[in-house]
Amino acid sequence: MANLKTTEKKTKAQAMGMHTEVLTGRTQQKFFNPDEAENFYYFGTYDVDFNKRTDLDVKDMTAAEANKKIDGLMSEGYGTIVIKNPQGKHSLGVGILNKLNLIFEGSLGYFGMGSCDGPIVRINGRVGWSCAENLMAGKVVIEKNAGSCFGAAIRGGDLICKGSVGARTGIDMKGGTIIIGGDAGAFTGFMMQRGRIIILGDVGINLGDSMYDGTIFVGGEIGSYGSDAVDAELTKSDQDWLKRKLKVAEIGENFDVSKMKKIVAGKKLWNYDNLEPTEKKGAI
Amino acid sequence: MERILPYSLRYEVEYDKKDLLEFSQKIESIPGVEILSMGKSLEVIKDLGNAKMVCDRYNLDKVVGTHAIGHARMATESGVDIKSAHPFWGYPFSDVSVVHNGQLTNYWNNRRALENKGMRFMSECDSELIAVYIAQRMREGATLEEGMKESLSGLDGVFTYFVATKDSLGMAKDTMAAKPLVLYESDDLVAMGSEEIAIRSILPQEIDTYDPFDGEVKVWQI
Repeated sequence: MANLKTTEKKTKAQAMGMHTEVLTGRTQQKFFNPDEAENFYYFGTYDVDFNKRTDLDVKDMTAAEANKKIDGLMSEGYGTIVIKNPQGKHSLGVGILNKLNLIFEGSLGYFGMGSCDGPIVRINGRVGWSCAENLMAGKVVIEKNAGSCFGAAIRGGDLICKGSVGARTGIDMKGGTIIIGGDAGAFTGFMMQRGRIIILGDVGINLGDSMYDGTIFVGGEIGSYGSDAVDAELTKSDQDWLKRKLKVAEIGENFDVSKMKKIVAGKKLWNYDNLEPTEKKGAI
Repeated sequence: MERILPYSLRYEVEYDKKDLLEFSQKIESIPGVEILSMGKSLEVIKDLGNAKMVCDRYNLDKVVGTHAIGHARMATESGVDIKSAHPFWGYPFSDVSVVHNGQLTNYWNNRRALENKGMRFMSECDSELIAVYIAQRMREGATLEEGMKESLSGLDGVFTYFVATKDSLGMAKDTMAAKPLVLYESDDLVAMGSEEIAIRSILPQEIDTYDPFDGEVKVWQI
């Protein structure tokens, strides 16, 4: 959480009536104030040097021990860390809030790379359920397959799976981009609110079910559309964006994006305001 | 006869009739006796405790065979007792056993229908329904795969389950894919579990695993 000074002076956003919530109880939300940006920092972030590289064998460690060790290495300035023998352990690499090159030589279990903000991660293996849940920024590349709830509730960053993914990919996502090289399971984009999902292969039943907003691009066959998911026109700018994104993601660079289907919310279920407060300010 | 534990015995008998119902009813007419499983090759072991405790108690690490299924249950739908422990046997069908992760919401409707057809339930655990459902379908002439595919629409709720018979192993996942399953398949080995870490405990080397999709049924012949 931001370490902000309490000030009596109203910020511009407050003056515009955008922060009017009166919060009580145990949770006291503090809004980011750009005027006090110099005081804004994350706990547990480090200045790391990408050229400072080390290996970490986690074979005989618990996930907590491994994560603590990664944290220790970052505090020593290591900017490139190669994790050996992850062997499907759960919750590896969670809560990394700074820039870091992280490479896993093997597969992760559930909740790998959860709640991260900033790292560039390559996983030379498979990931279990809920990979990169709540990702804020950064890039996570999975070389093989991924389990269900891939990229659940992400808010930013790029999440790339070169293989196939399970059900409910991008469930509740609020931003960022998810790219799937293979097929995706049922309920892909379930209740998504913002962001984009690209699937180069086939996708299962109930695609985009109850989606508020956001966009899904599908290259293969669609099992069925979910409630309130509708086709939209694939524009030239969509195609340019898709080409650029697939190239940067090192996946499907030669894929014919002109044949992709674009799916958006019909907005019959929800009356969703998709602007963040900062964007709202611009729109006003 | 072999006494495994004070409350658990293993008998070997010769019985040449196909239908085991009459035979099992005769055995269970003895007061205090209940059959946990009966078959030509499969043996169902049900008990309380964690996997290591049950393994040590029954010397499972010394058992040699072609295939096995197991389950550590988090009890939600019925009591914590031996009869509610997995695997479930499809009474009285020979060599059918099931483990299940999930919850079946049309248990009682299906149970009543199956009981009307003469099938018997040994517990009130919803998972038992799968074993009895498939045993009944196979009794009517369906193959294991056909029975499992029918279960995707016949059973309501969320489920991933495994079935073992004397010569086959199967998996099924409901149409919402609500429960996890990780699968590894090679020419001579199939390993699957809710978590990859379980597969890694026997295959520590880097292997290609994947999640079966919604509504997927797979059967391997042993």
